[in-house]
Formats: sequence, C-alpha cells, structure tokens
Amino acid sequence: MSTTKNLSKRQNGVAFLFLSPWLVGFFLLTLGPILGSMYLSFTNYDLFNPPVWTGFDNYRKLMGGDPRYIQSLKVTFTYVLFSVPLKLGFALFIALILNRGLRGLGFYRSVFYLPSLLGGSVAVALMWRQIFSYDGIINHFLWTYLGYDAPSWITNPDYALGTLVLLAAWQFGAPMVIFLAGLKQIPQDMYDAAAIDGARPVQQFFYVTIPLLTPIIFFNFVMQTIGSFQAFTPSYIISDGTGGPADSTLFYTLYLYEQAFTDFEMGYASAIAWVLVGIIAIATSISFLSAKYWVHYGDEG
Amino acid sequence: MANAGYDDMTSETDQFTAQPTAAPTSNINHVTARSKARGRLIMHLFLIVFGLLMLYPLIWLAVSSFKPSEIIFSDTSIIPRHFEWENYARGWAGVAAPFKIFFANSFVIATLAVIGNVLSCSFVAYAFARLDFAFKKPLFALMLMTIMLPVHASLIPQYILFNAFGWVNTILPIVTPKLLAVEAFFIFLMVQFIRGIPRELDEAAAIDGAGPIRIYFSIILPLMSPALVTTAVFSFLWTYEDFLTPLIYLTSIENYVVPQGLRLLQAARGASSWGPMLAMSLLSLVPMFIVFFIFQRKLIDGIATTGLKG
Amino acid sequence: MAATQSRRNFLKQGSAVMGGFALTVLSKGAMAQGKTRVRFSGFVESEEQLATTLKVLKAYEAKNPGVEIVPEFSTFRSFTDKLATEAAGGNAPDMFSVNVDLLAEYAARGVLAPLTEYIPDPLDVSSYQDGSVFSCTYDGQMYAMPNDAIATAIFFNPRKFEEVGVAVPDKFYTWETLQETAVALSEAHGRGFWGIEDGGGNNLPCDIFLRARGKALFTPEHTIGFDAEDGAAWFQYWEDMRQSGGCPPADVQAQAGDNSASLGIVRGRAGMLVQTTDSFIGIGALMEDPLDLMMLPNGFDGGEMKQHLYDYAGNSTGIWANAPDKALCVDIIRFMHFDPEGVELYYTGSGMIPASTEGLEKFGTSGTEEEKKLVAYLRMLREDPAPSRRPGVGGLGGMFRRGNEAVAFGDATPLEAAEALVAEINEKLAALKA
Repeated sequence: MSTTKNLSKRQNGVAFLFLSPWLVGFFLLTLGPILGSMYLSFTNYDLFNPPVWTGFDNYRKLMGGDPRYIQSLKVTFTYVLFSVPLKLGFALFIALILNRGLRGLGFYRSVFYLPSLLGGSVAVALMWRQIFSYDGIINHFLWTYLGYDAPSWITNPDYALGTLVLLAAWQFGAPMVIFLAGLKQIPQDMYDAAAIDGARPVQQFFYVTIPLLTPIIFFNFVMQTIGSFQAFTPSYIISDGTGGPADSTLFYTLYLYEQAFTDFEMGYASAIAWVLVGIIAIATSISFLSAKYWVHYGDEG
Repeated sequence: MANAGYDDMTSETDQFTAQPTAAPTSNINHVTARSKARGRLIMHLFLIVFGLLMLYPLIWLAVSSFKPSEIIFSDTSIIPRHFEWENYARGWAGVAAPFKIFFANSFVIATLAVIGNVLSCSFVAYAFARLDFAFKKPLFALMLMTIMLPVHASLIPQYILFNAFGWVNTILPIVTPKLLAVEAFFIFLMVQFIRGIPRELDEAAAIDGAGPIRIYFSIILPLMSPALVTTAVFSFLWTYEDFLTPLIYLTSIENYVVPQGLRLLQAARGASSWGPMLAMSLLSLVPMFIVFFIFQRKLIDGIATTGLKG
Repeated sequence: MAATQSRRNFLKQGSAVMGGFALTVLSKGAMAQGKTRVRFSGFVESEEQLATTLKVLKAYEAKNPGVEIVPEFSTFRSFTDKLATEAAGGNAPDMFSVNVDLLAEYAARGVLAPLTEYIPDPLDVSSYQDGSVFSCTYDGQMYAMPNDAIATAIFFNPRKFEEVGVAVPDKFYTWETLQETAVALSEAHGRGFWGIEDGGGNNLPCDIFLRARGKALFTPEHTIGFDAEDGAAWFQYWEDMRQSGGCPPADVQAQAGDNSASLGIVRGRAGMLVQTTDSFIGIGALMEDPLDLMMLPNGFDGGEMKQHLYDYAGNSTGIWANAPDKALCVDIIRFMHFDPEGVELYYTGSGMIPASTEGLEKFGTSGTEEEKKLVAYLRMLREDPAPSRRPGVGGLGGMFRRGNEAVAFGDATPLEAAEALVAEINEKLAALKA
C-alpha cells in the first residue's frame, strides 16, 4: 500500500459515500437485532413474558456442563473438521477440471451444480434416505452381491454424522462456482509470460494458478468454516429436526433452535449463540492472521 | 463469441494439427494430439460417470414425481409403470392458491435481490478493497461479525424491529436488506476479487486524472464481472430457495413464495399430497436450473470481454 | 377479490422498491379498506383439511361482507416457529390452531385467551366428547375449541398376517400377546421384516401402558402422573421387544423419523405400527396393501382387562389473548362448529372426524371406507371410554424418543433413561408454574 503514494491519502468523503448503503443497513437493520440478541443472552426470556435480567446465569449454565450442549459442540467441531476440507477439495478439483477446454462444459458445470440447487428441500431428505437407509441402494448392493447385512447408515449414531459430511461434500456447487470465477479472473498474459519463461503446465499450475487463486481459496475457506459452524439445515431435514439418532447429529445451531423454539428458553439460546460468535470469531481471526503467509493479492504487486 | 468458452487448450491442439511443417515434428505433434484426444476422452468418461453419481437422486425425484402416491415409497424401481401426469396437474392447481402465484412472487423477490446485492455490495466492496478511510479495519471486522450470529438468535429482535416498521406481510423485510448491502458474504467475495486486480491499472487511471468514482465505474466494475455474475447467481438462487424469512414475514397465502407453497403440499397426514409435492419440487428446480445455466455461460463469456490485456 | 387486490399490492411493492423508494413504508392495509381483518393461522394436517378450512372461511366472509379472513397456513413445525416469533413480537394471528401439548404451553404463558365467557353461549360443548374438552382445558378453563377427535391405535397390514398364518389379536389382549405376535411375524417373514415398529419413543402408547399399571402421563391437576419405575418398565418392554426381534434394531427404527414416507409399514417391512387415527388415511394412501386398525393392549398377563383407550382433540382452534376483536373470532368458531352450513363445509371431505357425538354419527355414515373404519374404531372406544389424557408439556415426543434411543443404542439402562425423562418433565412443569 505504501507504494501507491497518490492513492494513499485518506479518502474519507468518497469512501463513506461508497460505504453508505452498508452503513445505513447496518445501523438501521442489523445493529438493533444484534444488540437485542446480546441483551437477551443475559436474561431469562420465554418469548411471551418480558425478559428478566439474570446476569451471567445463562453463561454459567453453559460452562457448568450441560451434557447436550457439550454433545452439540463435539458434533459441530467434528463436522467442521471433516466437511470443510472435503467440500473445498472437491470443489477445487472439479473447478480445475471444468476450467479446461472441453466440449459441453456448460452442461457438466450445470449438472455438477444441480445437487446444490436442491439445497435443503424435502426432496434431499427423501433421496438421502433412499440411498443410505437400511433398505437403501447401498445396502441392497451389499446384501445382494456381498451377503453383508449392513446397518442403516443414516440413522446409526456411528455413521449418521458421516452421511451428513458426505451430503455437504455432494453439495459442493457454491464454492466450485466461486473457484471457477476466480480461475476466470486470472489474466491470460500471466500464463503467456510463464510459458515464455519456459514453464510447463505443472509449473504454471503451481506458480501461476494457485498463487493467484489464493484470495479466493481464502474466501471459500473462511466462508465455508463459518457456514459449517452454523450448519443447521442438513441435520434439520435428515433427522426431522431431532438431531438424532441419540443426538449424534445434534448440530450446535440445532440445539440452539430447540432451546429457543421448542423449550422457549430464548435467553439461554441467545447465550449459546453468542458463545458461537466467539468461537467463529476466533477461528476467523486465526484464518486472517495466517493469510499474511499464504494469500497473495494482486494489489500488493 | 459462442466459442469463447473453450479455452486455449483446444485451439492450441487445432493449431498444431492444422499446420503440418517438417515431417518429424509433425509426427511428434500427431502423437501429442492423439494422446491429448485420449486424455480428453478419459476426462469426458470421468465427468459423465461422476455426473451420473451426482444426478442419481435427481433422477429418483423425476421418476417418483410421475408415480401414484401409493407406490412412490414401496416400489423402488427407476422405471415408472405409467406416467401419472395428474401429480403435476393437481400440484399446479394447488389447494389454497394456484402454484403460479408462488412462482410469480418468488421471481419478483429474487430479481430484486439480484439487483440489490449486485449494486450495493459492489459499492461497499470497492471502498473496503481500494479506498483508505478512517476505522477501515474495525468496520471490516464488524461487517464480518454480522454473519457470525446464527439466524435463529436474532430472529425475534429482528421481527420486533420490522414489525415496528410495519413491514410484516410485505416484501420489504426480504428485499430492503439486499439493497442495503446487509449480506456480508457478497461484500467479502467482491473484496477478494477486487484485491486480485493489479493496482497499476488504478494508478494509471489516477495519473490520467480519474477519481475513485470513475475508477470504480471504468476499471473495477468491468474487471470484476466474474464476481458480479457469481453474486447475481447466488443472490437469485439463495433468495429463491430461502424458507425461513418468507415464513416469518410473508404471512398470507397469496403472498407465499415457492418454498412455502411446497410446504403446503407437505401435509404429513394427507391422503395424496406426496405425488404433487414431488412434482412441484421438481418443477421448482427448473427456474433455478435455467438461471444457473444462463449465468454460467455469462461467466465463461465474461473472460473474453474482460480479459486483462496488461 | 381480496387476493387480486393484495397481489397488485405485492407487485406494487416490487415496482416501488425497484424505483428506489425502498424506505417508503408501504401500507399493508390496502387490502383491508373498510373491513375488519382477522388473521387465521394454523397447521395443515392434510391437503383435504386445508381445502375445507378455506372453504368454510370463504363462506363466512360471504355471509359477513364486513369481515376479511386472512388464512395463514403451514406445516406443523414451521407453524409453531412462526407463531412463537409472532407472539413474541406482539403480532400473533387473531386465531390459530393448537394441539393438546402446545395448548398448555400457550395457555400457561398467557398467549391464549380463555373461552369461559363464551361457553355455553354461543359455544355449546355439551355434546362434545369429554376427551376433546379435556384436551382443550388448562387450569380449569377451556382455551380452544376441539376441531376433531383422534385416538391412539395400532395400524396393521392384514396381508402380512395372512401370508404367514399369524393370527391378529382379539379385541382385548395383553402387552405380552402383542410381543408374541410381533415376534411370530418377524420370524415368519425373515430378514428385514419386523412384526411391529418400535413404539418406545412415542409418549401416546405409553399413556395407555401406564393406565394398565394404574398410572397416567399427567394428572388432571397438571402434574406428572408416573414415576421413574413406571417409565423404566415402559422402556424395558421395548428393549425386550428389540432383543426378541419383534421390532427393528435402533438404527433401522430411527429411519422412520416422523415422516410417514419412511415408515416400515409403508415400505413393506413392518406388520404393525402405533399411531394416532388422524394419520390412518394418509398412511393408507401410501400403501398398495390394505391397512386396518385395532386397539392397543388393555392389560398384562394375569391382570385385569379394562378398556384404557380414549379419544381426544388432535387439533383445536384458539384465540390470541390480545386479539382486538375476540367476539368476532368466537363467531367464526361458532360458524365452523355449530352452524349447520358451516359444519357441512368444514368437515365434509376433510378427513377429520368431528368431536361431537352427532358429528361422529353424521360423518361416520357418509364417509369413505377408510373413514368408516375410523368411525367404527372411535365408536368402539366410546362404548366404555377411559378418562381422557390431559394437556402435558411441549417437546414430550422428543424426550421420549431420546430416552428410548438411549436405551436402544445401549447408552443408558431403562431406569436411567426413565429417571432423566421424569426429571425433564418435572423441570418443564415447574417452568410453566413459575
């Protein structure tokens, strides 16, 4: 930034002009509900009667080892740990393949995006059962050809979370599209320059493609991590909102939701939410601190 | 223009095969071309097999939507015994309101969301990526923080606020936030893309006397078109498929959007709504698929028009 | 008429926003010019029920030109989330559906208006079955009007019995006989088939089981009606059932969820299922095989045999405590429940069995084969009905399911699971009383 002398002076006026939609939105629409939710986390609030200030009681209850809360933490961390790398790896791999000159690319791209279009619809839940349940396709194959009487993957506490990780990987469309857009933005002359310097395709990949894609890899990583910590829909639709069997897919936000809307413990649920904000903030800060070492921006050139 | 999508690997190969020079070189080139052709074939095979794997559930949905309700779940065969068009007719006619109303509502909202997000988020992203101003870092952190709070936690305070504005049962609670760049996801996305654009371009323009506003419109905006297209696609798709916000704010049936309409068909204890529900689920995917297909072409074409000439 | 107007309104908002007037607050009242507007919200149990409800509301509007009823329907779970948000925001619908467990939660928290002053005039419930009235009563007051009568039953697929020559139990039989029958079916059909689906995670049959032990889930005073030992016996019963192969192992059972499409009986791999009668038509419609229903066991081997089943209201209509025009809401309810024209529109073809005795007789004779089976079943229960269930606490289904799964997956003994269950119910009851 120091290299750009004539742009480096403060441009407060014009900057805040560009920022104005967000500033208005933030102060008018976002800030109030955020502060409200923070306030509620210090209260006992059943949704229908006025909240009663209880100080740090909700947080104390959390720290005091609510067993289902601890279970939801375990489930969520496991999910983040496995689903984020799997989904991003998949998305990047397919994006790289699709970025090559093949006929019918538009078709493949759309086909691969289809599962993500299904999002959290009922159809996904029905189909996922069709595949992974006791009488699903996988077990039909295992029993007919291998004579193996397999469990119901989707509803066995040992495997249920695994099928949700697979579901996340299957719906890799969004990061794939973002990777593709990133690949499209890499200027062709970078490759030309590398080719003139005698770089082979593999070298071009490691010295041109990957470095120039790092801002997008970073973006996808941060956003997928935040999204996975907040994962709700997969378990909500697959387990009918129960987080079962035996709480094995009890995502953090599902427990929060249950506390708020089934048990009417909105104060406690708000405290749960704010602890999650803390966890995500820490994870995001670590990502941003690490970015210095591996993310290359064109504007730093 | 239509061919702009196929990148240089294809044209490179074509060039080699089209220009036979001295015999030995040409021979080598033929070998390369043949192995490249084989490579492409393998790649296609891989993509097709993989695509089928991805598509299986969708095929199941399509087939099931033509089955009568009583055999959808007991008969697992992939070939329907006969086509039950009635599922579509009944689903489309709807019980509470014709399904086309839900589609129309969804289109209005999703289109506004696209416009809102593309405009507002690109303004804000430009400021964060290129301009220097007071409290830049804390404001950026604050913006990211807004997406860290789970939706269910702020739902009720937000409802109280929007209800006080008199916005309930209007599209304002869904559309206004998009116009006011509330979706930090897209701002951050665009910031990353803008930061990938070399600063020399801005500087050259600045030397020519361009101010930040002109730089934004004449340099940044055209160069970030992949990010704009991406934002447009996701704004459409994610708004179109969102259920929670419409559920809370669009209360009367004639204002329902597609996901709410599908839920009406999903009555657990009904005699026969499974078939129509699956039929409408499939139908509801069609607009999303079309939008995605068109936009992904734009994404590819984009490079031809914006390709940095350095 | 109203629909077209508000459609125009919707598009107007759209174009206004496009025109950049996003912040102008556009009135939502455009469609209510000069009319009293009543928001009617609810959960839809079936497409048929939604159709008849809309029909009866339209008819009311036609008779009362000054009234506009805005229907706001969704599935049960999304309806409850929405209602909670709206009630918290001070903007609940004027009238809405509740079920027996939600009723206690909402009545105790002051969300529902008591209907006492409207009984018996215009709401005369004297011909309603006790069970349906009880399930709308909390703390001595009625808080909603029962829309239908449902009961717990065992659904069975008679073909699966005939195929292997296992006898369907008699009218009165014991819990032990149920287990023997289930095991016999499982053994005769072989791999991948089970006599009955695991009912241990369902609170409704547990109430019938407890009655055979002289207990109940809840007392009329809205306190817990059983102790950990009773609960342990219940969980143990199903653990024995699983061990003996009468019902599926835990993971296969968990597949069913609360989704009729995934039920074993629908998929042809179970012979019996414990369910409430309002699901009978919907589940039957998903099967090619016939479906029939019978009573749950009414006692234990060597004990007294007595009818322990009862019917109650599956859904009811209540009025928001802060609704501006309660009298109007009451009049709409009156029209749906007591006006001959309204009753006809509301119930015919809805799949609901009315809660009143005349209603039952009237719709029991004109309905489909399935409806007649249902009415015959309810009539049988009404010959000697047991005292009906009382409102409990919200989330009861989840607590039972977790308890049963903990036992089934070997994470807890039946007694441990029952102790946790009792503690959780007591905690919830205490929260309501506070």
